[in-house]
Amino acid sequence: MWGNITLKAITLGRCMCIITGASKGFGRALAHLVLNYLKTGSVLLLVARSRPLLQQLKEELLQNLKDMQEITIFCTVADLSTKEGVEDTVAMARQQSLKEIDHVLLINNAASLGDISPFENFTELERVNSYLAFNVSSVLALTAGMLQAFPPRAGLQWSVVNCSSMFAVQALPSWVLYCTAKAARDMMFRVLAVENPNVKVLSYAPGPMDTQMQEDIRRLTGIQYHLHPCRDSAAKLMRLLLDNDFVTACHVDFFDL
Amino acid sequence: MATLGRALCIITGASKGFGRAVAKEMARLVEPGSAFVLVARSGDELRTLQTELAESGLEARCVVLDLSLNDSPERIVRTAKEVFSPDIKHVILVNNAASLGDVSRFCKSFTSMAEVDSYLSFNVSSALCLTAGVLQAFPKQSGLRRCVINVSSLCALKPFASWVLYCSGKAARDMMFKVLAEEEPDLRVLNYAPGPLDTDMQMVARTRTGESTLRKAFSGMFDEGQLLTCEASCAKMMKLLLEDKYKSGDHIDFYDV
Repeated sequence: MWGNITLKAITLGRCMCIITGASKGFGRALAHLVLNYLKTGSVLLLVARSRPLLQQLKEELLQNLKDMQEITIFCTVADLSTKEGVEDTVAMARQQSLKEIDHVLLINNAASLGDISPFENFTELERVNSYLAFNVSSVLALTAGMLQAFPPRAGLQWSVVNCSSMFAVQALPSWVLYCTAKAARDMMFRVLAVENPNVKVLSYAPGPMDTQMQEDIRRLTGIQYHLHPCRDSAAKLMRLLLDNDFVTACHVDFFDL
Repeated sequence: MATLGRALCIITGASKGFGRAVAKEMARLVEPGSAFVLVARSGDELRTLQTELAESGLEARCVVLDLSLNDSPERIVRTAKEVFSPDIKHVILVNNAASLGDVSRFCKSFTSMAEVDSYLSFNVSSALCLTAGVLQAFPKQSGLRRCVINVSSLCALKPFASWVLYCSGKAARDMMFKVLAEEEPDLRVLNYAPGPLDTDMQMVARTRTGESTLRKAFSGMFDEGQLLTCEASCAKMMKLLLEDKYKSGDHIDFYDV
């Protein structure tokens, strides 16, 4: 329903927009939607592990550009669970740092479900560390890298989205890895907001969507949630970003709006 | 209940500060035949504590190791199994060991994944893996009370500038133990925030905190004698354990008791 409403002609400005986990699901839907709101001169950096999926996405986006809309679209094939993946992504973004940008929008969407399993099964440090590296450490390191590449200053709007979850706030049995990481992220971004009054931070919980992740949840737990199309949740996030009157570092859920 | 019964008490970070106070206080509240497993990196201090407990007729084993190494959880569990006896009716795990991380720096300087990984490994993963290992080693059985304590902090609930690692780690831990409480209703799980303690950790906080207002607040507390002794905070925690009325999974602060 949201996707069909003609929204007001507000834009994200001449924006450096970075979306992680852009190849599928919510990230992909966001890439499509964000495009409508990027002014000429904007740069869209799409990050994921799959080169073919990113390439295909880029082609779709290029075809959907409006007349006279000049947007540069880059794909970074990166595994964000590795230091190299994070560094490559920051380096790619840094190449654009001399462009005339008036808004940096970083969408930390890439994430994984982790093993859904009773707490007492998590006896192996390596497995837990590996999960936290991707879902927590990489998010801080990437966000820090982007803040250094595009230092906040007067005239540069800075927005960071943390793709959060209801389970950042509500404990769910057998979901210790996912809940723990989402709770860590929400707090991390609250600290970021306290430290940087000129950076607007939003922890957005997108609700259960028609994604591979939900398919995995159904397969692993047998639970079938009522799913919403990614584009509907993306539209709500977009509305929040465009209106820009959310309180920095708040946790907003799809179902709140 | 005036005692903790005949108990197996496993305490990490037992060499000094709050962990040491917990060991000593628990030693006064357990019945003969109880045993202690004391974990820390510093052998000398642990052995002094071990001798003190022995003087009270209590068996204590020292496990000297770095908690964030892969085989550490298993080494601790092995020692715990060695000192356990069928007469023991209460297993208590106190996840106390923690570090501040570099509090002199702000979010945007944390571009190194290795640094964040290392912090989370010690402060989050090791608590999960040790707890999982202890629960597996001492499964639910009739006549055996099991209690898991997470030494938490106000920082689990509130963001503080220049404290991103500590706040994120504590928020992660609170959630981790909430999930455990949801999964295992027979287990007693307590997220206890001890208040501002007069310890080495507080000394680092008041001398190294990057955010100057916060640093002054910490040193002000020290100068004005507003810091709590570990013993005073420990006494409140013991009251909670002895009364045993807290809701499993709740976050309870020194100042709430």
